[in-house]
Amino acid sequence: MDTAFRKIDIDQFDEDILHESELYDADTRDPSQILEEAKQRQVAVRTSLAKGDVVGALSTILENPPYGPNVDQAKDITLQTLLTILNTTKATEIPAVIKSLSQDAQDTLMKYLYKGMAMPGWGDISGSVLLGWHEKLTEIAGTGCICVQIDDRPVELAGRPSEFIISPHAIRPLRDSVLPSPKIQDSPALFHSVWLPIIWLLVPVKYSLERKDKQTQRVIQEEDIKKNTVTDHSLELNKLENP
Amino acid sequence: MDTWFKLRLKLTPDCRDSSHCRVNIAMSNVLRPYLAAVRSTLTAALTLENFSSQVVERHNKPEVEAGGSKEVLLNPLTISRNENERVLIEPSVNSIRLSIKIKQADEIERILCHKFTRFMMQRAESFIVLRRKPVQGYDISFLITNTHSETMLKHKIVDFIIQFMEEVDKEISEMKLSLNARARTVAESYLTAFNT
Amino acid sequence: MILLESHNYIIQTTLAEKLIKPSSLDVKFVDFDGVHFHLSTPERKTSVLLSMQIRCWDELVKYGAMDILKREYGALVAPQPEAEYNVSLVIDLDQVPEGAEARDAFIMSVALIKRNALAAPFELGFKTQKELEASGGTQGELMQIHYRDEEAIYVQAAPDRVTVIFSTVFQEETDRIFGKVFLQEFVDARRQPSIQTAPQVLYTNRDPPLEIRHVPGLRNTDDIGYVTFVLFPRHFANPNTASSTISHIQLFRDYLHYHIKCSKAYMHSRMRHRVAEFQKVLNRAKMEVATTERKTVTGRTLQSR
Repeated sequence: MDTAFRKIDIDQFDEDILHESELYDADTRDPSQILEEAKQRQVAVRTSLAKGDVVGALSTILENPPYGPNVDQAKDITLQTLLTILNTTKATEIPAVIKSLSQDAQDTLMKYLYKGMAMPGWGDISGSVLLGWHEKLTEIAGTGCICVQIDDRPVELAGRPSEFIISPHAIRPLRDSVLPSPKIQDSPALFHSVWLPIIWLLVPVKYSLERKDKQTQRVIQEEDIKKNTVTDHSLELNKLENP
Repeated sequence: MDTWFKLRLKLTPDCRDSSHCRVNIAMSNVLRPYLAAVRSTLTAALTLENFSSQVVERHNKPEVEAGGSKEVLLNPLTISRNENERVLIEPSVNSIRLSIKIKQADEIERILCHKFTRFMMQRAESFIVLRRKPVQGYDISFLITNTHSETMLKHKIVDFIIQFMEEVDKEISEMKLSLNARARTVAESYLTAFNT
Repeated sequence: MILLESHNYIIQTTLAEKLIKPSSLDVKFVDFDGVHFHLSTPERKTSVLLSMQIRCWDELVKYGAMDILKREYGALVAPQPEAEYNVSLVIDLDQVPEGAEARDAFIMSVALIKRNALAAPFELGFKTQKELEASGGTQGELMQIHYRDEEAIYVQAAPDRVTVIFSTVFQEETDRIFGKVFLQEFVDARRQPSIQTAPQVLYTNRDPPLEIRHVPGLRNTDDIGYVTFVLFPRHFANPNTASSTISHIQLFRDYLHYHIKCSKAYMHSRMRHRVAEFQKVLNRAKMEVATTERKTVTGRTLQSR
């Protein structure tokens, strides 16, 4: 009997299916324009570095980084330029440099650190440099900075409910503010009946807020992490003591 | 020391007595930034939530393994010391998968590492968070689901993984040394016997 | 026990036991390299028949094994070996030499039967070397002893030395790599001043050494290794040295594989220990379950099963 039909991926014919391209908005700029910009920035960084202005160089390269499809070359140039900066900075200067960066720049820097480490070929940079930067950056910007990397996706929320369920990182602060009691939060029945609809209503609001005020968002996330590590422990103990 | 670790020290002062902290202090300076990066990334990723499958009704499975819905898969992160030593962390809404590529300098280390990881993976059911098979390109993988993070202490799971990474390198090089030492003794005593 | 013994322990203990108290007997057992033994008392309790079956018997006979056995055991060698076996010794327990020391020596010589049979090509090699040295010849015959299914010993005499080559098969990847480490150490260990008089050791993986390259039917796969020992006249100048060299070199392949297995067992116990340690670390993450006594309304205790 012919069983090939079993292997057909019928999900691709589903109208509701989520495509890769829908996960985030494409960059509105023209690819060639982005490439041009990247090249200009590379030159600017070189001049800053020649003057010994590491902070300036970093801020230049971390502003408006290229993203989305079709701009691979621009991404490569940006990454290479950034790695040159990281490589030339003395280890003792790193904390001061990081502190003088804006929050957004710190987030983008973290993103590039991970990208650099994920690169298969490694180029001319050693892992210890990136790890050194990563360590200092985590020390200064906190774990929240890493959380941003994990669920960073410039989602334009329009349409399907499934997209509303994005990540616990994004939802938890909201949930905590809406329903402060952990017992209610952890009940699946209540989750679906009571506050999931509320979240659906609130998420778009939250995301527009987030775009405007990323800083507040990150503070929330960071506290969330702390609270999670802490509450896990204390919460469970409470549960055990008063079953 | 990352903020999280400081926090934990503050929370559990008795932790200073535990063997694991001593290991941390004695940990070689070379390895420290690498493990610190894994620790902070894993801590950041370990925010898991019960989440039912969107594809199959009444199913609840680790989304990172099922891969059925893209919107719940988060950005995978790689932390690496060099080409041969890396950690891949793949977070998702209800589970994270952490894969480790262990340093293997030569044929002997390769076989020892293979033996060791295989030995451990055969006992995966007692290592609740261990995956039975490594992800392609890595030597060993862990799968932590929301159930694990609810029934176990999260920071201790992180401790376990960090300690595993630390000791597996040590163990492999010690095994290699002992193999060489034995080979030497064996060869010497055989050849010495010709003199008598 | 680092070094292996060349006598057979079962023959030794059984004979010693039967000498004290003869009784009927029928045991079959094996030694290294698939050598089969059969100890029995077919006729009467005091007449023990020891038979040996060895894979390369025909080759050994060709190189003079029968002569050596006759030399060592004299009249003990049965004119007709037991069916399915290559050679038999008939030991009359009543005629064993008296005195504790003589007895032990006799038992030991019987227990060395496998060693003596396998000694034939080596003795012939040593003899050929002396002849070649005297006559100024070039090379002796290449003697092949296929003592295992896929592994063989090659012995060749030259005017100034005797070359012994072992081919050995590593059944799995781990064995191959461990074997490589061990053999490398054999090559390196000779640099030490205390063992510089030991035979020279050469090791090649996959490619057979020059001496045996012309031999048909050699396998050219990764799992095969060749170890060459170059024995110089000082290793077999006097009969005592020669005999200890023979006993020693015969067991090389078994010695190597024995230690590879030992290392594997050691690694395994180490891993077991380490994994148990990891398990303890993970157990620290588990939350303790409350063990308070729970009671029903009527006052009975709840029991969880």
